[in-house]
Amino acid sequence: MSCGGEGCVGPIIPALGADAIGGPRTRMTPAVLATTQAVPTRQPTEVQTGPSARAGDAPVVVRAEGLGKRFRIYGTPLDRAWEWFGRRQRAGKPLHTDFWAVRDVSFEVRRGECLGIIGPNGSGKSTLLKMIAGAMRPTEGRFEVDGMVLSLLELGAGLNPMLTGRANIVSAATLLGFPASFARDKIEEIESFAELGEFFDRPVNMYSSGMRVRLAFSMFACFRPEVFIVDEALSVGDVFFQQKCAARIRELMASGMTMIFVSHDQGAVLSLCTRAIVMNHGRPIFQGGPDEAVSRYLASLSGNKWGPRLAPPPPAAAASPADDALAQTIIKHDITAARRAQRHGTGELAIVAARVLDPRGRDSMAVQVGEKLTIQVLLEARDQIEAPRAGIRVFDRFNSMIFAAGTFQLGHQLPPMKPGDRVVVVFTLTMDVQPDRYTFGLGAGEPVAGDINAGIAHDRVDRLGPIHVEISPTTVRPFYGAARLPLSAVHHACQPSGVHA
Amino acid sequence: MLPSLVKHRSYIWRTAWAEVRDRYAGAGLGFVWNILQPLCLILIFTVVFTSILRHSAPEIKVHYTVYLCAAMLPWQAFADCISRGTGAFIQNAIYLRKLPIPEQVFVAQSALTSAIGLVISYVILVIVAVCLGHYPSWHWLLLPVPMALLIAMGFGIGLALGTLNAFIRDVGQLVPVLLQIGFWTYPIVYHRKHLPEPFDHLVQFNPLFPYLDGIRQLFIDRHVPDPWMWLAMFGWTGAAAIAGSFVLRRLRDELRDVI
Repeated sequence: MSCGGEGCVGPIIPALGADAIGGPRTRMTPAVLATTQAVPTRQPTEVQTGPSARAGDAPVVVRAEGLGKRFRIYGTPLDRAWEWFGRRQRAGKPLHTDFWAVRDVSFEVRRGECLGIIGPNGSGKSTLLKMIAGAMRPTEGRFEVDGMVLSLLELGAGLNPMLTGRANIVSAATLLGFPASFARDKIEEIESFAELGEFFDRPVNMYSSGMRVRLAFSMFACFRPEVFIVDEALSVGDVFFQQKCAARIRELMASGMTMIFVSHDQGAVLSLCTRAIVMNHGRPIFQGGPDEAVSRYLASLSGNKWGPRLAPPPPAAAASPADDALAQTIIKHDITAARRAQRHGTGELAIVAARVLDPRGRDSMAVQVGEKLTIQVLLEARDQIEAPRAGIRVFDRFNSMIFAAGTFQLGHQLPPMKPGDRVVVVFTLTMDVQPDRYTFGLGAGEPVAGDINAGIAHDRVDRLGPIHVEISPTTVRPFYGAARLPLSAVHHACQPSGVHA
Repeated sequence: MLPSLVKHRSYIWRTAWAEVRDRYAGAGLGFVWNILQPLCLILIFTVVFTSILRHSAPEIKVHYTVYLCAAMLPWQAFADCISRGTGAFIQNAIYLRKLPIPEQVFVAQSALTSAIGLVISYVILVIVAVCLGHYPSWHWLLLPVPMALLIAMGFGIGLALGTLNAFIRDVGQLVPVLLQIGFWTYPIVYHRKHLPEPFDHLVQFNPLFPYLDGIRQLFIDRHVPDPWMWLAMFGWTGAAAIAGSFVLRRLRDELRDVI
């Protein structure tokens, strides 16, 4: 079996050494960190790796050891009551099932550090934060904080809508156990920082969501907790206020406040955090510098269950045994088994497995605008297929198909296949699209007689991905709009106007 | 348990007062309803039981309104305290889910709200009683003690029921029914002598007895309750507080997970 020409090995670059792979679930020690590289295209930030000189000898403010939270899930609330009275089973089944939302989280944060926590939805970030904030008790592990922790969780939700901004500050302060006089001392500072104008003395139910955030952030930042937990809610305010918040956060950190920052906003993590933890499925899969954390987070989004694995060196020259090795690596890194994937088709030509590699040869679907993704698709015939075809479809966030093409449209003909035959098709897709998230689908089929543009889909897998296309803020955008169309320009010099007369 | 209540006393006091103040916010008469509500209630019970039912009980030496309200108003505050306490954690879920506030603060706050309501309504009762010719006595100055102990017992019960209710919402549905039963098992509306043979003595073992009877002795009979009555009050209150904190302590770890 041969595979499609140059695409077989294509742009797979043996990027990082095997020593950088690390166990996906083991904690990275600083020594390992020092040897790993950040994504080359990313701008270096002020503090690249976590335990740097800056905070190295500051006292530890937050210490977590083996933190874990188990939720018990009951069929009905009464099952819980049964358990209080010692019953363990009903109809032979246990009354509850255990769900560990967070497990094995250990970290230390030193004074003045900013720890970022990133991870996809449902990865345990919020549960972890609630435990840090003291709003939830850990099931196992130890957690110590030296001083007061304040969190902006579900920011603004805790404001009493009937009270004015001013009254809310007093209310929140007393709720946190401060005397009312403490709040009154801070009110002027909060008022000037929040810049709410006359709204400061109006009931909060007249506020816009951005105003609520301003009030809540200003309030908590002015209370000067020892540890300040900020989550994504901060991205609600307008850009000017966000900048002001970021400046304030830096100022507070410089004055020795410790921050824990949770966000999907990778830019914020990169610019504010000194260290980051990547969470996935309730476990920390990486702990270290924000640069690497972000790139690992993006890679983990792209479907690997336990986070990114770096690609092993690509198979040597395309000899026939190597083809089989290629097929094996595709199966090993298969992405079509993802939970969200949708599958249908008649099955005569099956998509056995597929693998996606970024330009650095890693199992990642995070690329910069204009970079190439390599998509390897392993097909197997279950029937005699005279003219097999394979193709790819790309969808945007609104599920609109923005592009679809395949071997047929490319004029690339795959060899006829008999049952049991396998072939690897390697697509190289240049992501000339807007920075955003995309999903994609793979298809395998054959043409029908009579209609040149029709075909039978034997197998189709959709909702793969997501592909993250990004652009660094310092790069000139190569185009605007949904996607880049082939465009060229020439120019011809002309006489200045008026000369003809 | 207590230190956290002391630490958050400012919040407890402010929100309890705000709740009383704003309960009728939006209504034209606003705060006045806090006075009108108990006043109307006193009026209705008086009319119903003295005119329509022609309630007669020679044992009751004072105006029936005074007899009824002396015990009914504390009972209402107690019932209010329990039903508020039962819903306290669910009502304040928004805070419990994100802030490290000790749980009992919210039950204490609802108990204090009920206590403020009791003070307001009892002041009205005092005015009504004086108008009806029932003159004040120094014994009335002792009234706050059994009242505070009664509300404290309500706090303990509310703590337990509030915790259970967070896990099993049926508790919240059950509590009003139990309170209705409680209202009629104690001689608030009727007189103790109206109870059939064994019950008129057994009623002394009703946890409400030392409080409500003590209040009536102070308010109506101008008599300081016997020491064993005081002992019973402290005993029941202590037992309720211990039971409440035991339940909360046992279930605290998961409480915030389920609300």
